[in-house]
Amino acid sequence: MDALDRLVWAERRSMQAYGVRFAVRVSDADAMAAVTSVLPPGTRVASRDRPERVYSYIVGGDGPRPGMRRLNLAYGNWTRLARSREGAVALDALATDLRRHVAETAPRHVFVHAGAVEWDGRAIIVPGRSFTGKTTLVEAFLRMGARYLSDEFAVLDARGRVRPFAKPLSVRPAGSDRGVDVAVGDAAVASGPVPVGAIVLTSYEPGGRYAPRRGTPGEAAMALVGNALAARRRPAHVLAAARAAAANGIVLKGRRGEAAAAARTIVERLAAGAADTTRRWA
Amino acid sequence: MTRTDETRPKARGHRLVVEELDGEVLIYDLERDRAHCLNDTAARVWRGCDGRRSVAEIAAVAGLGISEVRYALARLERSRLLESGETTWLGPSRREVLKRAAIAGVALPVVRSIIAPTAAQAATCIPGGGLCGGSAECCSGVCAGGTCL
Repeated sequence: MDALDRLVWAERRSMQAYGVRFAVRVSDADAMAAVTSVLPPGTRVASRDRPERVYSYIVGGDGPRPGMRRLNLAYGNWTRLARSREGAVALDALATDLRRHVAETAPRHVFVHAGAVEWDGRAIIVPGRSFTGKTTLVEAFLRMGARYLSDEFAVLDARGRVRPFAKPLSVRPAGSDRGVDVAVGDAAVASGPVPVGAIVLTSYEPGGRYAPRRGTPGEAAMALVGNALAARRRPAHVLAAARAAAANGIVLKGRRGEAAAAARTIVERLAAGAADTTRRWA
Repeated sequence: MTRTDETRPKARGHRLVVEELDGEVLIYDLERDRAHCLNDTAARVWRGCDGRRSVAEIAAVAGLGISEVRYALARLERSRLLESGETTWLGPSRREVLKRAAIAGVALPVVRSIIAPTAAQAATCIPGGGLCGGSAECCSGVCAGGTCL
């Protein structure tokens, strides 16, 4: 970090998100707007300048001599995250690492890798790794009128409720592994926190027909733990939040085909499950 | 050495985080970074393992047959959820227990286990061009020369 610290920085800001403090600094003041645009949702200026991690962004461009080009560089503390001709690649790497850092170290929330939407006041969570079709399913829910929570993390509080992590949808065009950000209008974002209505354990199978079976709360909790970034760092906290989240909703499991049909089925099951619950407690 | 029905199994109590969930039991093993979920049947056996009860007594407390208890003990031991000893539980076959459980109208004891993910495993993958420490971190699944393809 010493070598980086010795550089002259055009601007530096101390921020915090979900209780995690960090700083960002840029070599060119004009780049700060681009950096702040990729910070995690809910980021605000920190009252104290005591960051746990410092992100540095060095803007590339023409070098001092003709034909020489400087690359865009991104660092998280002293670790180089990206070195690229394209500024977008370096910013993307910085943003990905920062979201991971916040997700892993947030002191009061449990971040589960999942897509999540709000439907009729209840959260639908789809935990799963990358490339399991979470974003496609979230898009399908949004087209049906659901409110957006996240296409990356279901952020659970101690009571198992889901808080919004409304970054832009990262839609991958066919054949590409790089997501293209698609903004979700503010009106379509849930204000949260939202109690869990359904936990959907699924992955995409081309041509498949979605006929989910009911799973147990324990299966859902295991899926949440298996996708929680802080599972090893704070297991007691993660297990308690997963238990609280899984205790409240229905659990649906099974491979799905097209997202629109699966989303309709899930919403129908959620409505039926809610009716069951109402009868049970009446 | 194989354990007998006179052995008095004891549920492991140290370095575990335990949460009850609607009859099921969630357990995090702090020593091995594994999470387990015991279904209701396995949970009843595990709770009955106090180090003083024999297999028959556990079966009575849990409301299960001896075969189901032996089967559950073998699974619990494999998951390192019993106090370790020099002996091993040899449970009956799954088919045998399934048959008996179906007749008795009880669920087969099930212990589901996962290895808890590291933060990198659970996080979003790194897109092409980002620096990586291994292929598992990359969206493409290929980390070449420290950069995701």
